[in-house]
Amino acid sequence: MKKGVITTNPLRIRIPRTVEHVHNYGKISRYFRELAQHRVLATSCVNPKCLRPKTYLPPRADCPECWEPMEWKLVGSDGTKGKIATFSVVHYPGAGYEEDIKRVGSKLPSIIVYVEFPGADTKIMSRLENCDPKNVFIGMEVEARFWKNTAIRQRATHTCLDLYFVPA
Amino acid sequence: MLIEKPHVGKLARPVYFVAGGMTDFRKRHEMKAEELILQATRMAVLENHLKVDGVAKFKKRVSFGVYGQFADHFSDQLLFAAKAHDYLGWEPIGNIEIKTGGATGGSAIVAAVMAVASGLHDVVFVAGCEIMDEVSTRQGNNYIAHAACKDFEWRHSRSYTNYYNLMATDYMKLQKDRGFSKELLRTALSRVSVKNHHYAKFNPFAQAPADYSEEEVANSMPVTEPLRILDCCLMSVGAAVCIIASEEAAYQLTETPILIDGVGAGSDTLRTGDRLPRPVLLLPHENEEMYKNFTNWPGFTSFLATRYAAYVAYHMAGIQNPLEDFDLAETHDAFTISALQSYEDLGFRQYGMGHDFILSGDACFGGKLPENLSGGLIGCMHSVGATGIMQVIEIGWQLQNKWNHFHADPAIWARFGKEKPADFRSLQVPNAKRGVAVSHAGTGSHVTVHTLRRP
Repeated sequence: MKKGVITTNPLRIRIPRTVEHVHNYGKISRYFRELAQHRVLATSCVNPKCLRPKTYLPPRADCPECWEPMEWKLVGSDGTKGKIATFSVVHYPGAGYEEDIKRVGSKLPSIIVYVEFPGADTKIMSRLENCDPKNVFIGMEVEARFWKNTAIRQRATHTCLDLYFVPA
Repeated sequence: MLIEKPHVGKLARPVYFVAGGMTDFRKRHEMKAEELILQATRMAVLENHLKVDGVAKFKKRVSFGVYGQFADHFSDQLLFAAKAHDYLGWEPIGNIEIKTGGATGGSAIVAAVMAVASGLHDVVFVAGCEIMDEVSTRQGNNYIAHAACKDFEWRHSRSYTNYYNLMATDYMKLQKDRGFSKELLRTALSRVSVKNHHYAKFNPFAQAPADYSEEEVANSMPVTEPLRILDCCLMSVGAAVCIIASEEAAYQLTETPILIDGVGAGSDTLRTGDRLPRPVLLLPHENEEMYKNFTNWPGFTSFLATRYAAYVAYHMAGIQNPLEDFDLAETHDAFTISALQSYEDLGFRQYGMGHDFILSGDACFGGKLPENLSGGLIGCMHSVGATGIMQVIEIGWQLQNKWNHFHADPAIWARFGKEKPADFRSLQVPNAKRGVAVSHAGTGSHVTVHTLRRP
């Protein structure tokens, strides 16, 4: 026997964890409230002295370049057309994803897309529905869709899942 | 932020890598974080031919500790640094804990280098570890995805493989438009995995030694297409420890100190989609003519943070051409696609030609710039807080000509319950003088580049 404290058979115990975080959307709370009303709001820097004034989607409340507060700008609603900048077909997601998309009526495999939205300088990550993964391509035209009041779902999730896209 | 030229700093005094030590890396380990760190520390201090006699005398030389742990979620232990620090009996000297995602290990080295270069400390102890075996792999992926934007991206898959795959899809489209076939790129991706698993065979510390064929990689389980399971890095448990010191202290401690002559740290937006186009930041061996048609850099295909960190480190170290000047490299192959992307950002190939670095054989042992001879994150380990430290140690050992000491001795294999393979071969790069280590977080939100040189 080797000398010293040696363990080749460590004891492992279970520590269950169920916690609820009350997450604060801060100054971009309005984005998620408007999303529930089928409107996509970006933020724009209107500071004339800003060296790089841009329109941000996902929105940021304050301009990262000049640090001045930005202004809301309506860039989309039901049917607004965007273009797929890139995409990914997800077969093996992280824990909790399947349950999460189930509540918005979706299932695996998921097509995750980055969408170029007209009027925004950045791209937003979202989900593409009603499309065979074999048919998706970069540059494909897609249309914005939002959560709907249905038998399985009476409320918006107030998360990024409230917005998704379908082929145009 | 708009930049014209990165700030290239200067170390106020020279800083040296003195010694390194590691545990083996596994999916699950028998030991706890602090116990693993102690094992790695014993190797660093007692098996590196240091010129100090024993632990007590060594400890007297150290005045500061830096700890790397990426995610408290995994170990469920906050203030891990305190636990490790007191387990090794370092109190009352000070310490800090560094957290920059996948680049945690590299950032811990940055902190140690700053502590020594400033004159604040002469000898600094750096340790990293990640306990990734308390939760399922799926839950692990979810935790790691908490390092993506919680509001806008985490919910879209809870998987970093997906976030990288979004880059991969665009990279492959761009390369196709440049005239490179899908098959060629798939072969390049597969060959990164084949190479790194193969080199892991000669590394007693490595978690996933294997001889895969390119077809096995390309046909392995799809995670997020086109990335397959064998395109992805490992989830590991294990620790890495190194000693960083001033010139005077380094020469008192060892016969083979290695100079850390370049230290670069770069960043980019956390959300890949937020990255606005810029002119390509040119490395010393590049010119504007090469990229005159580039209107969407870095886009989804390149890592500004890597380029920025490389620019700074190369200028500090006087690197004119990385492919010619370095003898070996350890890069952050979180995914095969990010390996190809990084080859370009690091200037091993010009943008658009990353695949050629692996396909030409330059990246292999005996090639122009052997890369990830440790097996990297795909073959050796990704015990996140330890990863960037492991890379610096592997480069350090190579430059100290100690690779065989730590890899070829059957006793080290036996220590980890393994048998040295019958087809073992030495991967000590003959007469290695200069190396580079690259540590990388997010989809390139933080990147560190360290250049090391035999003085």
